Amino acid sequence: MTTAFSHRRRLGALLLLLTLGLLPQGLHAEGTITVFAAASLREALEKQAMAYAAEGHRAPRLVFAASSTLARQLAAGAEAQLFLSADERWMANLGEARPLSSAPLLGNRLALLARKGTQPPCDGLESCLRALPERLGDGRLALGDPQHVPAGRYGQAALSFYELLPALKERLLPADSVRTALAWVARGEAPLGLGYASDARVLPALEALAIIPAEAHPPIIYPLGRLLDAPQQGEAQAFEAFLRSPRARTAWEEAGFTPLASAPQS
Amino acid sequence: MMGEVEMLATLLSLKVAAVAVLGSLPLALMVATRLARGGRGTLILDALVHLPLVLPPVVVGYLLLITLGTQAPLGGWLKDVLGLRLVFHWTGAALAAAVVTFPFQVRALRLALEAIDPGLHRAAQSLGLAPWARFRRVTFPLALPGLLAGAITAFAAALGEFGAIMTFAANIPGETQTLPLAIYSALQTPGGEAAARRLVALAIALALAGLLLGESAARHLRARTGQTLGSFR
Repeated sequence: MTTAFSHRRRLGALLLLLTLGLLPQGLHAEGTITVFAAASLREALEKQAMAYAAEGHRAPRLVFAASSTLARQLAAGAEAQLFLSADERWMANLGEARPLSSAPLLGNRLALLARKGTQPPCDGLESCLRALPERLGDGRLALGDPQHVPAGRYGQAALSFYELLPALKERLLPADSVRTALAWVARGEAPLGLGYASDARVLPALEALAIIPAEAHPPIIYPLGRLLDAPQQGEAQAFEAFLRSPRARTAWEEAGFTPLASAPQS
Repeated sequence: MMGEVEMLATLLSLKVAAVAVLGSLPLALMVATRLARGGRGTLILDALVHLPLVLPPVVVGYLLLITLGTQAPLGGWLKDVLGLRLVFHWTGAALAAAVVTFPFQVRALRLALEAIDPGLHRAAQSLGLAPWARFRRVTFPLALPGLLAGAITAFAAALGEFGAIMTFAANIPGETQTLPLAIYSALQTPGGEAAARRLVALAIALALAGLLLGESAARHLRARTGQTLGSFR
């Protein structure tokens, strides 16, 4: 009886020690770098990080949200080594607050997206876009909040390029990131959404009805920035080099992105 | 100085909170009456009523979305048959706020009802008042301070509801973007600091006004019902 009790106590103490021992390690594991990345990069970057870890490196910790949200958190001092923004504006904005080295990494295209099989195909881009109000019916067009989310800003620019903004201004469904907007579309609560061509590639519930011509909006460029005041610069540089490597380029292309030229050959 | 966004968000918040509180008031009164009476099932009903108070608001929003979204059977029926679309609509925001603030109303009402001296009921009964007249002339006036206190607390809390509205009704300026959602949007934007500060000041002013109003109204009523009772005696 007594021994059973003390055994249980010893086991309890052991478990407690184990938990306490594991906790701090889990919270800030030595040598793990943190990457803040635009929401649209989720699947592609997770894949890249797995491939990187498979090469024997420590897997980086990935944080996804709208680029604007991340830029703001980083400017306020959030601890991360790398930032992948979906536009150059928020990268430049962060550069005013913290020392930064950044260069373009990826390009992307804007796309009109719908839940698979719910919308008739688009024949002829112009006529398809002009018919947007009719296609929406009494529903709304989901997109990232044009106030700050890059995809929403590109989307609003395209709507205004095709002179659709007056007709659709009251019919928009702004979301806190492009992925929130596309979740509304995938759920069927919004009949159509504006997102990226890469989203159609990695989100199985969605299909791209049309790829919006690049002239309709500012060029979509994802810069990769390294925060020079963060610790573990070596580890950060290694992952940065990996993301720009020929092997990573193939994976980016498979995910629907266009790797941009500034890659240093390795 | 108030910009258009602040103006829209403030007016919308007031509308959403008012509709949430007034719309759920009759149900709150019924539930509180049932709870005050006690008996079988009171405990479980009480737990159910308080659930939104302890559940994460995002869960409430999600539950509303999967039951009342246009893709859900009930939500689809509401939309097709009654033409009532709640999702992405200010009425949906009001519903979300009503669910989350419902416990505040019931709590205050129940306390007020339980505090009523049962002797007064018996006295009214022996004086020949019918049940409805008893409710109207005895129970209701005595519960009024509690009702008002609950309604105003619920109103102030509804002004601040975020997670449930965000999840169920989204964040559409002029439609479902209440004050807290407008503050959130401003905070997501680098350089949105000034707008966020104006909105925060508004939110504090509204909350404070609500609390002061609630307290002084309750005091006033308590004094008045005291007088009414005196004349009743």
